Amino acid sequence: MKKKTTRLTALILSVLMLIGTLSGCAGKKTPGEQSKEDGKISISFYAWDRSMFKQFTPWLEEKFPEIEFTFIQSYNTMEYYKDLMARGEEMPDIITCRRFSLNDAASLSTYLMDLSNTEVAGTFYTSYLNVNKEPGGAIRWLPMCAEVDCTMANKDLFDQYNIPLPTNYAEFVAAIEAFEAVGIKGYQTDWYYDYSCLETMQGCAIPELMSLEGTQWRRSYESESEGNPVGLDTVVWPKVFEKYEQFLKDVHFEPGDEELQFSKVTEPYRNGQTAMIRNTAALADNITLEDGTNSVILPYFGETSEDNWLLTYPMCQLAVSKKVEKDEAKWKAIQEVLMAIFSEEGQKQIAAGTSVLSYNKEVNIASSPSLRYVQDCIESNHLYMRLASTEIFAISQDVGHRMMTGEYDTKAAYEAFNSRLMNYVDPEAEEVLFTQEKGYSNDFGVHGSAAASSMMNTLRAAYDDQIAIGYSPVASSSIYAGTYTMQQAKWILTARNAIYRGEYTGEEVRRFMEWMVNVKEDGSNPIRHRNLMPVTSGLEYTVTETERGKFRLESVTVGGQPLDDNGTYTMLLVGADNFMENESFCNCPMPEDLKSKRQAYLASDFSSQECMQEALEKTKQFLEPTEYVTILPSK
Amino acid sequence: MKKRLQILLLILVLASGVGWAGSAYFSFVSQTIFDESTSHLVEIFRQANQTLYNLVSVNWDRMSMWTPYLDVQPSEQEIVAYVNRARQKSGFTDFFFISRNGDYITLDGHKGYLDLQEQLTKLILDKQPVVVNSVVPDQPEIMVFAIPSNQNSFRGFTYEAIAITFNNSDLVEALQISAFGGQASTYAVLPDGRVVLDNSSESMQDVRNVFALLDKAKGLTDEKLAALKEDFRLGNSGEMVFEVDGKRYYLVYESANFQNWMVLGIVPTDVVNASMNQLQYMTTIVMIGITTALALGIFFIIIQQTKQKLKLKDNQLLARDELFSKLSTNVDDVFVMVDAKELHVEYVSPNVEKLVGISEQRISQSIYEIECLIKQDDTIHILDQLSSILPGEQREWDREYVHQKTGEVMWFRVVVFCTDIQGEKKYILDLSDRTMDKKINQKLEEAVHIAEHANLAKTTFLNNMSHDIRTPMNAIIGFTNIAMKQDLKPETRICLEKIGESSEHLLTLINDVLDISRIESGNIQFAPIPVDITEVSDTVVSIMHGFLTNRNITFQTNLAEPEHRYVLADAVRIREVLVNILGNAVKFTDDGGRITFTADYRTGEDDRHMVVRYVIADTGVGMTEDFLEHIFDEFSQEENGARTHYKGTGLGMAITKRYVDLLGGTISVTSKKGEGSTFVVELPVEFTDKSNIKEHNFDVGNANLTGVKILLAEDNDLNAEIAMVQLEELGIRITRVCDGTEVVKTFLENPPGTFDMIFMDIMMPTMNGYQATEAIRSNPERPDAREIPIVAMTANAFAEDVQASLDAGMNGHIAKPIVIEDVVKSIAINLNI
Repeated sequence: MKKKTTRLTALILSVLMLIGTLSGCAGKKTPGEQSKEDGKISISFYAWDRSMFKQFTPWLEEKFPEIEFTFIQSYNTMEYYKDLMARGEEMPDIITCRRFSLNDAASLSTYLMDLSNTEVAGTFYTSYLNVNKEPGGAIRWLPMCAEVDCTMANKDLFDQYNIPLPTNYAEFVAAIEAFEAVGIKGYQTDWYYDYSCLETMQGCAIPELMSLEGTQWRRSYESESEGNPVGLDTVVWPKVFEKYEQFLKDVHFEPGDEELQFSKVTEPYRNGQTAMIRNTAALADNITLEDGTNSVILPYFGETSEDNWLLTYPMCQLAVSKKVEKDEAKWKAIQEVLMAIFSEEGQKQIAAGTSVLSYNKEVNIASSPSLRYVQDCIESNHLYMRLASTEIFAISQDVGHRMMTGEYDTKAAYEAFNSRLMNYVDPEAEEVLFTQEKGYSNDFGVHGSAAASSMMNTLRAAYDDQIAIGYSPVASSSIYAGTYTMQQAKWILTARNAIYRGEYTGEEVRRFMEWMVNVKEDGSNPIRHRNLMPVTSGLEYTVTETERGKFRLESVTVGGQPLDDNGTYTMLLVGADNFMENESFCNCPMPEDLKSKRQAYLASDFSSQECMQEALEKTKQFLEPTEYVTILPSK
Repeated sequence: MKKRLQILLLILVLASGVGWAGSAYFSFVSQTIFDESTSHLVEIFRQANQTLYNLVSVNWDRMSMWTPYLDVQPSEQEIVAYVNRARQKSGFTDFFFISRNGDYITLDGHKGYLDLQEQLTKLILDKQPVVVNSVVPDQPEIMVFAIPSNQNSFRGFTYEAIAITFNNSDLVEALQISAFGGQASTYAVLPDGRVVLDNSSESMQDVRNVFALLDKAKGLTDEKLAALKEDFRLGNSGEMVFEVDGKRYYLVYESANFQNWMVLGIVPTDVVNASMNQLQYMTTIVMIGITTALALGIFFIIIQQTKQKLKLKDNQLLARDELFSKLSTNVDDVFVMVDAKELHVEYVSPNVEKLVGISEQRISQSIYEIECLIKQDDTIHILDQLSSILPGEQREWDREYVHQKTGEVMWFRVVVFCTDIQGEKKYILDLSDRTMDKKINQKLEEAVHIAEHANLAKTTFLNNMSHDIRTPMNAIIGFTNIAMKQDLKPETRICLEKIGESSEHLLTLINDVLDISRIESGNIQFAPIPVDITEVSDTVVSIMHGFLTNRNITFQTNLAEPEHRYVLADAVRIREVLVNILGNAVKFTDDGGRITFTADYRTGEDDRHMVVRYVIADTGVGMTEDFLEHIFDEFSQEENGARTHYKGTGLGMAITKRYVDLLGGTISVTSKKGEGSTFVVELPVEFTDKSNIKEHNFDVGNANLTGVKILLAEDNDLNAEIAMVQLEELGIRITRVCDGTEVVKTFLENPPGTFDMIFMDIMMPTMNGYQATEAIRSNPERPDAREIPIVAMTANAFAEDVQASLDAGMNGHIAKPIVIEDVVKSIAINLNI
């Protein structure tokens, strides 16, 4: 009861503070208001990951110039949207999320439209869409194309050491042994992450999970109702833990590996120090393209090649807000947008040239080279869709890590997993860390986003640097007044980005800003969408919007004073090079001298999330926003 | 207006009737066409659905025949040959052996996973045949028909079911409909509308969900769509019409009887109804023609009637216009109508120039032109007052205008009406020429003034006459009385007695003449005061006894006792009336005769009033009928020497009648010559309380006035002497002064107690009696000046004179010629002796 009261109070405070914040921004208009003035239909689109900004969002804007899109980088889990709803926010028009299960989605159903009667639902293969069908027949989530996430192998390394690509589990183990005999790590993955734990745990026992009993249990689990949790079954899941224990041994898991994160695994792989890692076909294609390292996807192996399976999941799931039903014009526009998204062209834009499988009829996406060694799996329909509820992710990580460290044997793992599943509590979602006194909107105006500014001011407070610059989006939603758990705070911070700290001259700071803002000579644009502009703290800048989504840096000040080119400043950088520099993304390489200097300032194994965590321990608040940017209209 | 409304209503009813009939007919025809067409369509469509169902059931039947064959475990080659033969017959795409977990192996040894979803449980555990729409990567969507089998092995693959598959496109053929020229579309759909099998015509391409299609349909309500969804969910059959992109379609649907699928057909209505539509089209044209003709006819009649009415109306308007024009030209009123907003003149009557000397054109240009008519500049301008007049109200002003051409001063009554004409506020000004009225009124006022002046002169004359005659009469009577008290010779006494009688007669004559004059002048007022009405009768009876002294007449009284005796009445006048009549009765009744005086009472007009009825009957000489008609005329006396014999002025009954009238009563008389007369007087009186009655009980008979000191103001020596002689005989000490100034001076110069009382003549030189009284009363240094009784003793004998004396501060009034008893009574009352 007390918790409910606290939440209610928080909700009321949030709404009041949000109103206050909005009313404080005189002259600032929300995207919706702007679009009404322009006579355009506005659609808010929450993209679960920045990869969607690569080709997909610019393509969508180009395809529907009459629509005013607002793209917000959100989160990969439905919990994010549940939190938005709990805080009284309106459901955005179109939402996407990566981690999906029907039982996770149940509590959002009242906010989302039933799309089963729509034309776009008719474009799906019936059997694929049936997976998303609620017991009452409603279909609220539409799966995007399928991503293949298995074992990525350095084919060149296999060839170099004349080790044959494995075709079954025994050969897989033998290959690991063979590589390790020559000093190369046979198999590794970023065990730190929940998805790695989940996928490897399920991947090594797909035949069991896809057995009659396995699929029966899964249907039962995914249709569980509130208050009647479904635990692990006694036939399939004990075998899963047995096989996982064996798998950990066979891949030569070593103590401490459970802390391995992405770069600690991909770098050795790229350098030829590891032969196989767990990853997606998309990354395999990228590495092949970028590094020239011939990377191919191998399946999760069974006893025989006929038992091999590919682990897949929809790149993301898409849903439409129920409130759209009341706006006929918007609903019509959204139907057209959905038809475009799920068309062959749309899915190619989403895949951005990487390997995916489509769930839609009339869509033919050519299989990429990285999948050439798993064609038999594809043809035999050995495509396993991971079980991806929020709790399964969290428990897989926890139980997996305890198995890795030897704390759990198979029996203990089974019992712990089952027990947690029956009484799932998310620790990060429970403990209230602080109470936010003021709320800040994430609506983007001529002075940027108040929520993003608050977040950047907070991040800078972690080390009291003079300047902080985020060149990736830093706020995925408004900041609300009320209580915050760590999980809720993380949902405000967009994704996880690298952190760099060090001293720069004023001239270097200016060049950084120019790199982040100005359209390059070849037309490459580092911003594209207004709300993806750099977010600064301690530094203010003015730009001119020369064309829609294209900007030119006009001036930079620090604390209101002109930037001193010869002075030195301590600077905190928050960003992801991949997005800015990659040819298929923004194609804006950082000037070499800046990059090498910045690289030296990389805070290893310390992301923006940890930075925020440290800052909040000091501030116990998201700090007051500042007007960090001024956007001038083109003359 | 009412008739017009009735016609309008009739037209509306007719139009509604025609509309309803047309609509009903159209609905009937449409429904018939719909029923016929859908029945035809359903029939055709059902055949297609049956074909599909047959295909499914036949496959199941065939597969059921294969399982016993497989149970005998023939060789692989034999199985392959057997299935291939069956494939040739059935036309299926693939044959699968299915394991417990959903894996399959084909005849040529290809293995894989067939996603049968939840149907796998039904197939393996429930041993039920199933149909599943499934997909294998990079292949078209397939339809899987599977049946359970005994657990057997093929190429080392343990299976528990077998299945055949069709590409969905192959099944579509079952839904082919050859009718309708290829324009029929048939689909198999899931309950949520998603299309599974698509056999669409060219016009229905790209339908992926039938509800998405219907969502765009025109006129299809949410309720209808919801009902349709419910039908799909429950597997009900039905039909309907919908319109998309301006084209209408029939939709028929029914359950496919497997997999919850619905099979539906969509065909353009114009294709199905080609011939029926022609009939409907022609019928509709005819209907429209008839309706149009009817409407035109009614329209024509209405136009004609309206024209006639308009003409009639125009004539009436013209007549009214003419009438108004004539009226406004010939009356002495100028009419102007202005709008309230701008005071713009909308009408001005043509007589304006004649009446005020300003041209119609000038007034039409500006209403403010009428302001120049005003004679006096300080007069409030009427036009400034208009805004305060509300619709329905009117206001009036009298104005003195100057005729702008003749310069004549004229009087106008200006009346402004404010009215609301169809939502617009207007002022109507009526400038009414009242110059003639004004002049007549002036003359009348002058006449009234003259009459009033004459009346005043008459009153003055009468007062003066009264005073001037009474003064010598006072002396004559006074001295006669004094003389009579001397020791006289008989002859002298007889002379004095005759002088006395003549004086009394003359005084009566003067009193009567003055009374009748004053009554006619309206100077006598009815003055009711609270009295005991029985006392009036008693007083009269006691006076009557005086009259009858030395007479041998029987006087009989019948005095009733009223329920309420205290009333408001003018007792003095009533007494005079009764005394007059009784006096006459005594006068005209010979000795030996009889006089009866009756007083009774009856109820009045309400419970606050009663009527007093007096009847005086005598056995006197009586009157002729001719005289009776004139008895109340002035100076009427019956001839035959009665005047000489009875001595009268001939005014007594006239005065009596006037008094009765003044009292609001009636008087009647019956008489017969030689037998006597009967007078009946009825007077209304109002009840009052006893507490209002003033008691005046005093007995002056024994009053001892010796030593009383009286200051007498009297300018006339004779009158002074008469008074002094008579009063001094009573032991009263008199100090006489000759005018008002002297009386004031004498009173003030003597110490208090010098005089007990003052008798004050009114008409005196230097200062009259009223002024002298006021001077005494207002003296601040003599407290006794306000206390000393002052009584008027004057020849001014009228009631208003009495009141004037009291108003001047006197305590009483004695009229001349003085009656010594009255004087004694006055002294006794005022000095409380």
